[in-house]
Amino acid sequence: MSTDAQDLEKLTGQEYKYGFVTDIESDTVPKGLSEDVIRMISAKKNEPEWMLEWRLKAYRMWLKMEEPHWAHVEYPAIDYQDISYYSAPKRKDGPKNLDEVDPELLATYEKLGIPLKEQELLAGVAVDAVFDSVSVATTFKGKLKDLGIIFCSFSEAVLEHPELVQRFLGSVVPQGDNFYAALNSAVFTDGSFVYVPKGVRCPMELSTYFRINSLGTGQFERTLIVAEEGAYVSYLEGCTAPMRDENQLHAAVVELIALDNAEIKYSTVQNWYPGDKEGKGGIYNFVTKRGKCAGVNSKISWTQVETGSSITWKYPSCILQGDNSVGEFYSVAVTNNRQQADTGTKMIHIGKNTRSTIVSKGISAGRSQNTYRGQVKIMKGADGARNYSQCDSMLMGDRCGAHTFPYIENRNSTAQLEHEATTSKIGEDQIFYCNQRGISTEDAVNMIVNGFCKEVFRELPMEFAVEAQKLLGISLEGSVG
Amino acid sequence: MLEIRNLHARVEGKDILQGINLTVRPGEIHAIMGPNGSGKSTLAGVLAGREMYEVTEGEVLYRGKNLLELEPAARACEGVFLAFQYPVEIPGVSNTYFLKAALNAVRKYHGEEEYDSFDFLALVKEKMKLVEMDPSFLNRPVNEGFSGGEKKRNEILQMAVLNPMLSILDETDSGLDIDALRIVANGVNKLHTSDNAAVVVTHYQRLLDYIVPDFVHVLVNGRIVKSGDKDLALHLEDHGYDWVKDIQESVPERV
Amino acid sequence: MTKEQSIHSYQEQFAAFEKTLNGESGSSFHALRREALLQFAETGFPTLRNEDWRYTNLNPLTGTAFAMAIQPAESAMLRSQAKAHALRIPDALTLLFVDGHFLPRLSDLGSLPEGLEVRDLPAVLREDALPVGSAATDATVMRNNPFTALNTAFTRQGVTLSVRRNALIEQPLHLLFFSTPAATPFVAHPRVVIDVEANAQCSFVEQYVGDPGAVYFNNVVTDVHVGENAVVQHIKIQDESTAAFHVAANYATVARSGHYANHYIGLGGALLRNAIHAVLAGEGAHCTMNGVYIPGGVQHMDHFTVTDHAVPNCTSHELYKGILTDETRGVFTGKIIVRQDAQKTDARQANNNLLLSENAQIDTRPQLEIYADDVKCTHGATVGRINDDQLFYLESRGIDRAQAGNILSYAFASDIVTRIPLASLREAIDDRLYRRLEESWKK
Repeated sequence: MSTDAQDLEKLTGQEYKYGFVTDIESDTVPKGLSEDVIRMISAKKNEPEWMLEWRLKAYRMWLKMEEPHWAHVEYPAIDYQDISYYSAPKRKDGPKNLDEVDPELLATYEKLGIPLKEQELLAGVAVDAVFDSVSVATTFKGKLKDLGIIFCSFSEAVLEHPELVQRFLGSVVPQGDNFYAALNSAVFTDGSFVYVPKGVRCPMELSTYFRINSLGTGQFERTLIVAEEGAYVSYLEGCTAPMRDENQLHAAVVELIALDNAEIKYSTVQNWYPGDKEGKGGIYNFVTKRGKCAGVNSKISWTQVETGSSITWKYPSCILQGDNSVGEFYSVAVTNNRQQADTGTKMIHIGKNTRSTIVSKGISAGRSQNTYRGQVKIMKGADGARNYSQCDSMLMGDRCGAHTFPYIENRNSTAQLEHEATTSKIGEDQIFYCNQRGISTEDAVNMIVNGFCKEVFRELPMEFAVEAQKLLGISLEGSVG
Repeated sequence: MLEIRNLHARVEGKDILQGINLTVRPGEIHAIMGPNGSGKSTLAGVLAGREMYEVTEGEVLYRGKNLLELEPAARACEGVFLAFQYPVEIPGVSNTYFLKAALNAVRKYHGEEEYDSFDFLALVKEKMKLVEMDPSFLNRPVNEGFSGGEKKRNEILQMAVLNPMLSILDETDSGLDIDALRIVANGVNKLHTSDNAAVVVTHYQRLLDYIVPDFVHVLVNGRIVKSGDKDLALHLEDHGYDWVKDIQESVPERV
Repeated sequence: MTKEQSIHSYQEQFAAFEKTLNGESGSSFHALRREALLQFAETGFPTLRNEDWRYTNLNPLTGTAFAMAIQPAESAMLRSQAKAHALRIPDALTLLFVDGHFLPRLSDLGSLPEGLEVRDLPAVLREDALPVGSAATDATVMRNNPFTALNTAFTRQGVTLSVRRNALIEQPLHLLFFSTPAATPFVAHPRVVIDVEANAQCSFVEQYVGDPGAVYFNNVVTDVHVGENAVVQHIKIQDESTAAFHVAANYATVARSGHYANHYIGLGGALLRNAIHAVLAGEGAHCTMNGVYIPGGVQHMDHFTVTDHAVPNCTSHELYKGILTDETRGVFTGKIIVRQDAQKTDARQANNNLLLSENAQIDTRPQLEIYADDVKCTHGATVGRINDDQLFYLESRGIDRAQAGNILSYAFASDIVTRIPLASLREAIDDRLYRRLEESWKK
């Protein structure tokens, strides 16, 4: 092995920085899933009858479904009866402001480098922090309220805005959409709800940080974002999770709806615990994210930087229903050690002159497997539809895998589709060139990798882009030879 | 400044350099000429610390230090600059970012304060005039989509910014038209002082019309078989390398 | 007929087939046949849920009852009948197959060049001599490819071709498969085994033709072994009856520094599936796969190619092009697998499609599956229509629209033909392609 490789090996040895367990008494429902458990969850949340019925319908669908196995990932069978489906930090009344928040929770965020207070003051970001499954802090609500924007926890939305939730919930990801979405629909505990009324441009980035805590607890968030005619909203989702011994299941559902001339930008930085070097522990991340461009000229843009989880199964998608609507997917997926990621997107072109862009950058290191799986489907009526896809993979080390599985399905002769993919090793001559200019190998790798991902990073809001670049550096330290 | 003694090197098990001796003093420009495959680029690569070359014998002293013991980045920080024959492209990394990272790495090495963006830009823009480069180049990714001439000019720009003690120009003239050649040579000449030195590796005499060397060495089969002044280059141009190939068995002249 | 009924009818056919084997049923190859049938019955026909078959609905095939093809009576008339459909390749030697049966007496066996051996498969099997370890008889391969298992269960007809060490065979060998018009649909399971030894060079042209409107099912398996430093040009022209079913699996292994080139021209068949599995098994091996498919009417054509880089320093190039007209459906799956040891692999793949009709459909899946790090792999896919500016340019020079469209789509397709290294064949194919495209633009 070259000296560079050895240096890098040393560097990659870096352990997950954010592993710790917060000692908080949790209010946890016994393990296992049944109609009774679902009734209990619904009751704990004081949900109306229609919500419970919706959950039960999903549960009955789920019972008849089979866990999908087509993804390029391997993991031991999951015992869905060995999971606790509800856990909430114990407290009587919700906090009115940050001062009322459990100091231990705040300290947790502090350790993660996301001081809520600072964010509130400095970044101007409204934060809806989810600790386990229940929202503990929501800020900037007043300011948003003045504009008519609703930004609250999902549970709150069910109680306060039932008409909106009933109208949009499941309209993009129906209960029976897939195995994990059905499970989520039955047992979801909380998440975020955003509603931007007609003609309103949300003046700040909306953000929520998800955490997973509490031993043996699955996390099932539900997020619903609606942009009415001419509205605009940018939403940020970021995650880190404490270290775990047991694999943890995470099956979120995110639904986005953009009406005429509306635009939704959804950015994610995902850094859940990936397991140790041997792949032990770590999060199973089986997420269903889908947006519907329901109106004409609407636009939905997904940007994601994925460095965490031991297994990722995730395909943020766009249904381009409105004429001239636009779907975008920008993704950086980094896998190291024993991580497995099967991620990509689906662009379903239904309306006329719909356009979609896919830019996917996969970086595989260690013994990881990194798969891009993307579908572009042009329906018969989608005259003049266009898609451009670009999937690049970079390999670091000779024990990892990079796979590209695009599915291009065209039913319309006026459509134009282009797909390009490359796979290559990080360039030794590039590293040497940097070395020759005085730049160390570690910095050179960071620089080259960040350059490789640039097209995606520039889609991220500034503060997120910085965080993403840092994450990439941490995830890949020491993986080049 | 640089003293190469009996340097032997191989690549993929094949001996390329077979006993190079060369001394370069401050203020000097040396030209190394030779036919294809004679080991010119290998010599440049060995001096810069390219991993693919294995030094089997000999030593290289650079300003009193054993150059061969230093990591490539350390050599660069010590003031050894290689202008690449084929500068690589680094997609997504802008020229500015790259150059600033390089310059600050060198400054940090010498315990100097790092440049901030403002001072850095002022410096770069000044240096760009030297190689007649448009400022828009700064925002483009390193060498990506550059023409051959632009890449070589970019190498000289980096040289101007990093201000090395010893510059090794590896076939900097290859693939250049006469205008680009003039610009590149002009840049090199302006950067030359009585304190620094340059080793110009080339196959053709053409470049030496613009960069006038103090010494010319002819490299054949991994050894310097003849040394002289700039007239040697002219002689080579007229008579070709076959002329020196005949004398390669003779004892190389020490300069 | 349901899929189960269809499987059952093959089982019944097998029982009848066994009775005709006269004493050969004790052979080791027959044991393999039985295993293959069991495997086939267990796996059944692939459904759309099978990733490899996701775009091809086999109901028309499984819903049709096929009788087993019977041995045709050899006559000069049969030969001229077959030749009437065939491409004219002036310098080629013809091997004639009718309804899956090799007919040595109607083939050009008298003048075989030195170093080339052609043997009738039934004769080989009587000696129990077919290489059992070949790709097409491998248990895993059969499990994953039910049609190959089905072929193996019924393997009797076909041919083995051997090219000896250092032999340079200049004349192309034309394997002409002709299917006769029959009152009831029939199925044939021809097997072609090609073994090219070290340093040899040869070209095979595999052509399938049938009477227009004839309903039959050719379930073909080809097993090719390219020896060290050997060069094999394998050209397949699939010009079946547009009512026929054609399912083919071509298994190729390429030894050290060998070069295997597969050129495919797809024109015929109601439902077509052409699979190529190439394994680059020796360092320095190279594989070329070029293909063009031009379905018309309601034809369904599915192309499935796998390039398996098993060892370091191999290269592969693949280019498939499709022109889809009328209500046709085209499918392309190109899988490049780079195994962990296969460092320094250079693999390139592209699939370009022209969609000329609003009712045509294309599904394309170029795939990279890479387990080594020091590799260069690219793939690309495009779907579009003929450039309007180009069309208009030609029209403005007085060329009518149909003609202009024909010229442009021909230029698109002929790119593949020009890569075939046999001049005489290129001309013949060019001519056939041009006529085919002319038909589609006249509509």
